[in-house]
Amino acid sequence: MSFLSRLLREPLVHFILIGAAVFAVYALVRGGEEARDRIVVTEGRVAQLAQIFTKTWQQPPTKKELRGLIDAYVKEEIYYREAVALGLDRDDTLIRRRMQQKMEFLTEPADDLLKAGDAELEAFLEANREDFRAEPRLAFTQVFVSPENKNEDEPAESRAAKFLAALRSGPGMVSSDLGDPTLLPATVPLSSTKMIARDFGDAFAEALLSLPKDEWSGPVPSPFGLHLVRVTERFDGRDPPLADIRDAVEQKWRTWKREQFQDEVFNSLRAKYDVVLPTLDGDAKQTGSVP
Amino acid sequence: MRMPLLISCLIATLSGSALLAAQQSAAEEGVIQLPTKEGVAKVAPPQFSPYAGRNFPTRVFWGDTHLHTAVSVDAGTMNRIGQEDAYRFARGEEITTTHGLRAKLSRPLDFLVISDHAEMYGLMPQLLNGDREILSNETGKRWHDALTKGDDQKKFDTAMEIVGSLSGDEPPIKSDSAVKNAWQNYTALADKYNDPGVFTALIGYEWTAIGGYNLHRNVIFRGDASVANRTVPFSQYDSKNPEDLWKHLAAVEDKTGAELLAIPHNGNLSNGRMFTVETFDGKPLTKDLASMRAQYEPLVEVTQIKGDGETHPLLSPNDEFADYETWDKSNLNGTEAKTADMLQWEYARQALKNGLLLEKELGINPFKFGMVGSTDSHTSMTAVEEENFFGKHSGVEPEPHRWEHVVIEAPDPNFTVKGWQQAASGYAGVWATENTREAIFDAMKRKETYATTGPRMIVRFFGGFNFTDEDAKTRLPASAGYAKGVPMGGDLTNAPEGKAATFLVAAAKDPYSGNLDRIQIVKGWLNEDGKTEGKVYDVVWSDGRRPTGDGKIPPVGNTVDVESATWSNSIGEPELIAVWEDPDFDPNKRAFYYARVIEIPTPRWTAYEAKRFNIDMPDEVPMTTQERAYTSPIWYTPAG
Repeated sequence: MSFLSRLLREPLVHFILIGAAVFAVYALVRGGEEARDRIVVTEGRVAQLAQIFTKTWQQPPTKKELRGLIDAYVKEEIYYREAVALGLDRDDTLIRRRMQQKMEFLTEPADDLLKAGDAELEAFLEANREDFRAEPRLAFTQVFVSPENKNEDEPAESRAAKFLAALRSGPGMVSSDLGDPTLLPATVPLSSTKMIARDFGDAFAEALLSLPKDEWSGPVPSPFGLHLVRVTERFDGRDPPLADIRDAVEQKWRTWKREQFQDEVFNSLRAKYDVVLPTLDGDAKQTGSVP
Repeated sequence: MRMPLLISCLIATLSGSALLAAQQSAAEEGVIQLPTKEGVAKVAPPQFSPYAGRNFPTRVFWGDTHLHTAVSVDAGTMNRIGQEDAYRFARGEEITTTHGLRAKLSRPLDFLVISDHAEMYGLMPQLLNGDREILSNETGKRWHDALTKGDDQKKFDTAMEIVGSLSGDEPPIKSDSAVKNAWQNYTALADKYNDPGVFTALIGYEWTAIGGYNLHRNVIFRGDASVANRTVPFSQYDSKNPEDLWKHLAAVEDKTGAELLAIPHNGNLSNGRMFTVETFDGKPLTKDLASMRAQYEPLVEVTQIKGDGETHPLLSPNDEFADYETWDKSNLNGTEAKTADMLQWEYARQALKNGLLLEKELGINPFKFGMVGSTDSHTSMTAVEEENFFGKHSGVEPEPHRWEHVVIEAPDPNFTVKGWQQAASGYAGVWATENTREAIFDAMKRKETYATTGPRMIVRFFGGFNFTDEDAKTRLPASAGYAKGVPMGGDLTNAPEGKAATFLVAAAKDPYSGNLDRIQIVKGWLNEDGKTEGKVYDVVWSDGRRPTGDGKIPPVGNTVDVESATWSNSIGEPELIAVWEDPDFDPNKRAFYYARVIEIPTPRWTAYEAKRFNIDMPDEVPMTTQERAYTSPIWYTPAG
């Protein structure tokens, strides 16, 4: 792309050209007089200044105060224009960010864009099954064998093996009669593996997934010691239907939709620019349009 | 239906035995009584199945009662994360921090109280968005400009100025409608995230009085938005006097049917004000005020990022674990140096002792409180795991130099608090029957709670007169505990002739953290001469250590490799349990007992930081820590 055409796309150039055009027209209209900017303080503006003052001070401004407000407003306006004319806003990081924020705020999608129909949610759920998958859940009973039990000379492993044999020996065996004291729950109701990991550690929760159901097995190690385990209920991880998780899907869909909308807006702005980047650490020089 | 407070108290006192009888007969008829605010129910008679019919809490729920988001005026100066992300983070989701990092907890919490400052509630987001009404205020305009256009120093100075303004007599920016809107947005959000059985979002706020001296309280509601919306947060502009806060809470309860409690924190920064034995105006404490405090402040937050408040080495010179994450240079904002005589009115253990004396004098113990830990994080993230610590406020979120950056700037540089001094602490453990607002609130009221400095160890503590060693061998210690005694937060009285108080205490480590070093029982008592005393007993410990000459158990050792920020669980034990009988029990003396559980040394957050960013920190920066838990006390009161 030629330098000229690139130049013609540069907003600053637009600004200068427009400025020049305005200047020219203005100069013509004023008939060759020195061109002067105008600041018009409207009645509406004065009313607004007075209103703000009234709200702050709980009384209307006096004439003198109002004059002061107007003078301050004019001063602000003049400095603002002069600063912009000098380009002081261009190299000020905070102003640039503020402008970016305002633009982003303007590109918030309208409410109706964020209303989802069933079809859209279904499609979204389908595309993001992974995020909405219900974790596997298990219920189990456990008998704890402590390697630290000082009343026992026998190693925990062999005690565990004996308990396991006893537990498997028949229905007369009550699991609460076996094992060492512990604060860990002896029976755990249907819980996600995450919740089981919270109390018993990650490796233990993981190991439970491969245990048979309704059968004593183990020992399964945990940071506390050894556990004989009988899994009493098991729900494999599953993909719930939309009806069960509609709120959650809708929440994520809205977030996604908003991001997508903002990306689109940005991309359309971005398409108006050619971005020229310097060479980075041995990269080939990148010029022209970078998508 | 609500009865006036006094009448209901009277009825409760007169008919205590009748109630008990009713409970008993209910249990006999097979109706299972659940625990209430007043206490746990009489344990249901044993069933064939030892797990059936249990009506006591069988699992501990973890939470933070003290978290700030961008809605808090001070946090909002540096933090851009709102209340919704704070909930998402606490329940285990990944969020993006103010500084663009991805952050997630190792495990979800069970409950959260977002307690943004009552003062100018919700003003900050409006200020930053350049709300017209707020910019029309001179201060609002100046703050807005400094925070949106100033450099980092300017922003920090302004943040400090805003924190300072929270202590003024008048709000620099006042807008009742803005506060009400922000409050109602918050309560609606809390209702949305409250998911009974999974995640509890208790509604609350922080009353931030006498900022420099940190007389702050977190106010917590039992009910939902429809209840909380009948009032707005009581702020220090309404009154800086905690007695007025209690009166306000009583009035709200009477007027709206809400149920409320308040949790004070950081007595360690109050320069002798948090637990004084006088009224706010310095007059002798009255019975009325003492009972209001006892009623509305059942808990104290004893450990958090701004230091630990269990006890101080000068108050407990014989306690080798007393000097834990101590902040004792000055008051909160560093405008007044701390002197040794202030300490006795600042720390929980001494306050519990002073409470015994006040109870003798007034008939009411205003300091009959249980313990919780919480974060007081201002980052919207309740992240106080040592290897996942996001700091006190968003000015000291993770980056290579935060350990040496200023957390709180003081006029005297000696009192300025540096990043490394922050404690990665703490959480609240609550023994409730289920994870709901009602069950957790009621457990807090009856003080069945404990504080930890971060790790989620399971701790049980029961007191009675009949515990024997056999009870420590049962597979269900809690069944014996509830059947034969009272849990943490409970009361003992009327020691049977010739019997001493006995305690069943047990702890299991956090599976993600260090083994346990020991369990101790801390006792405080009141002598006839009106002097209080205290003693720490080692009750059960790991590795078969023997007491040395002074009767103390030697240190457990240290496996921490600071350079790699690792440790080994080759010392300590995963679980400890014991029955302990008080060898110095005197049935005629008022006393309290609480358990303290100590972990083996593990890397402190600074060690993870030094490794992660490959930095050398000076010797004054501690690199290891022995995390701990403090249970609520059990009180013994002589009959009559």
